[in-house]
Amino acid sequence: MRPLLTAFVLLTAVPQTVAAQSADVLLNCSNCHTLQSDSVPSPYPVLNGQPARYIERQLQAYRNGLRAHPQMQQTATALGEGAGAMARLYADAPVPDLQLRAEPSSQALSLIEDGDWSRGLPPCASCHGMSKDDEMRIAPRLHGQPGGYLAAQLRAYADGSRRSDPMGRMRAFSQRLSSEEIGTLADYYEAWRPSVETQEDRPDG
Amino acid sequence: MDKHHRNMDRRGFLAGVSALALLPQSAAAQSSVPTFADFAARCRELTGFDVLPRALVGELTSRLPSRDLAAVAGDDAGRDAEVQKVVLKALYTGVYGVGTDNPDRIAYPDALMYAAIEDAVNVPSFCGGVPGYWAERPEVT
Repeated sequence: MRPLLTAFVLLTAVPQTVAAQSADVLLNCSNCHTLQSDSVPSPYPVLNGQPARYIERQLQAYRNGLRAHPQMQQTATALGEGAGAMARLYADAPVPDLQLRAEPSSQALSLIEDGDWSRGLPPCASCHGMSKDDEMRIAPRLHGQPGGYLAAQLRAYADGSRRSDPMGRMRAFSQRLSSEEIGTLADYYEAWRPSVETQEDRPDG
Repeated sequence: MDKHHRNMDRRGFLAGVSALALLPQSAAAQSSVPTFADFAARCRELTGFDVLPRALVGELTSRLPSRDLAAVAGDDAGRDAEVQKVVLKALYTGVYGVGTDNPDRIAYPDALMYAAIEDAVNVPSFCGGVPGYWAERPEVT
């Protein structure tokens, strides 16, 4: 009888434990999107200081299938009504103090500052800001974002797998960018790094 | 001092005591000015937007007199419909004091009227699409 009881207790406990662990993982946003402003760059997008409504819209887009990412779609669904509060939390989080750590390419600067009107490309800076300190109100801040993430998003806009852009603007622009230009732009924005002294930066490091 | 004056004095004393009794209430009313978080929560409730730009709410908070802040986000009994309309107009248009002699712009792209229609209408002067996008007949699905 005792083994039977033990097995019953274990069986009833296991699903709850798994569910609880899943919720912990899904809702632990800061595990990937750190809230610290001076953290080491990671492959995950920086949410600190992004416009609150932008973050909320992206969570909605994950729920509605306008953005595709297995983890984020589950997280956004699990967040549910808490999406707004999470968006406000990250929007108010301290923004990293960034410094440009690499020589920008002339191709990137040209696209960011001037665009290419012959191809219907306005300057990226007209919405995303010219400098790291521009206060972006409705478009996301790109300075300091991981290059791999930015390139993946531009490709996703271009192939239509990401459709969270109001009025299809970013889909239209991304389709006009070459693979090389996407890489160049991603490299430029990634080269803005938090101005913290890391081990590598130290003279004796 | 005659009887009449003594009665007047008693009345004066009672009036004074009554006035003093009111003072703590005034102090309480003063302290009922909502915090920024409470005011922001009330703005979200009024507008239906679960997320409001901090800059927008912050600019409005800095302009609203304390009594108006309390009239919007204070106790239910003290809420004032007219002040709530002032707040809603400011949040949606980005202008505090719409219809007055001294309208004051507190936000431009953050104004909620743009957020409400962002899937179809662009913030004027902001990049709305490829150059000349507005000249093309919209796709009808």
